[in-house]
Amino acid sequence: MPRVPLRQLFGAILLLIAHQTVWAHAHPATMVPAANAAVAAPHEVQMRFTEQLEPALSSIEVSDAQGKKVAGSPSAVDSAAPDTMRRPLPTLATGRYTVKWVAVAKDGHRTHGSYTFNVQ
Amino acid sequence: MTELIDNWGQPAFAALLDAGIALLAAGLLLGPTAPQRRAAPTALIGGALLGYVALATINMTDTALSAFPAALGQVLWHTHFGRTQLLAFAAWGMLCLAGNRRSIRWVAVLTLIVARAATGHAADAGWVSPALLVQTLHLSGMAAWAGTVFSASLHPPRRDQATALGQRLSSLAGWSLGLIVLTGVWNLTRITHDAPWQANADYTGWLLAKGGLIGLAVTLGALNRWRYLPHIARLDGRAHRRFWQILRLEGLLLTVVLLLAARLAVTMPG
Repeated sequence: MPRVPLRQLFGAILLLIAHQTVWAHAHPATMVPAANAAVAAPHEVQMRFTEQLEPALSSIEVSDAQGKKVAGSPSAVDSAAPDTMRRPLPTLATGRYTVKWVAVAKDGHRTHGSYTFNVQ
Repeated sequence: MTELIDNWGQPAFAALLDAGIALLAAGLLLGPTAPQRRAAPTALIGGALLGYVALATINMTDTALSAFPAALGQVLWHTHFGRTQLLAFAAWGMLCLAGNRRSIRWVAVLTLIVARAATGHAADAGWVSPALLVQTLHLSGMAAWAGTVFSASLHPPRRDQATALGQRLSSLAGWSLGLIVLTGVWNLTRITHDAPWQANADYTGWLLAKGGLIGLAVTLGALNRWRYLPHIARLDGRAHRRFWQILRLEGLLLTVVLLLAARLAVTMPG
């Protein structure tokens, strides 16, 4: 008797009854500088997400080890690549920096998080 | 309490909105309706829309109460979600002015369904896309099935009209289910790069609960169609009572299904 592929069958059933909106949360796919990386002073923080972002509600803030926000232009979503957001940076001194991000996907779901990187 | 509102507030208003749209669709599918029956879904849709947009704004912006008006304006005028809700409000305005003009009511209900479909995963695909079209058909099927069951449960007909209504309900439910399954399969092929069996326990639990309730509702519908409907034509009083009892139970299940669907929409699978 052939084996029934239960995992695939279960997955197919889940997909059939799934409400599709659940898959549209935006999560970081790539981050430059990367989390916990030690880098030369970067000229920007660039984050690419798993979904397209709402420019009006998505943001990146960078603060130094004392919690003071780094100066510079506000973050913006790339109009040519709506899943990518950039935050220009001034020349950063050596030290540890925290990136706090908020991402609102096109379907209205809001995600947020933070990570750190070090400037050598 | 705050957690309860965070987890269930927006889904509850979304489910009320879906129920209102379903009742509106049922009024058009089941023939002429009395003015008071038209007013109830219109009021339900208006109230649910206000609550839904307010809670969505809070969830999207994490705003304090004092900054709420500015955040609401930002969401409505500067986001895709906001534009879909403005479209829904426009459709609601049409409903308020439509009176008994069925063509305008049809346009309004279809616009509401498109607005609901465009807030989902199809948002990424854009306004003119197969994804939005298929999701609109999917939600239309659900509105037709749930709406006709809700409407008949709330307003049972006279016994001499019961057979005709029962057959109409059965036929509409069959077509709606076909549409729901077909569009579900299309959605399946579109997103097979995902791995739903890796979803977390929270998400999988709600999903299986929803699937189980849909299965129960289909079973009840089949029971009514093949067991009790044939007897209603013979003016069998017991069959008549059972048919409407089962229909009310089916309506109750579909209400919970709408709520679970809305809850799933704000649950992270991974």
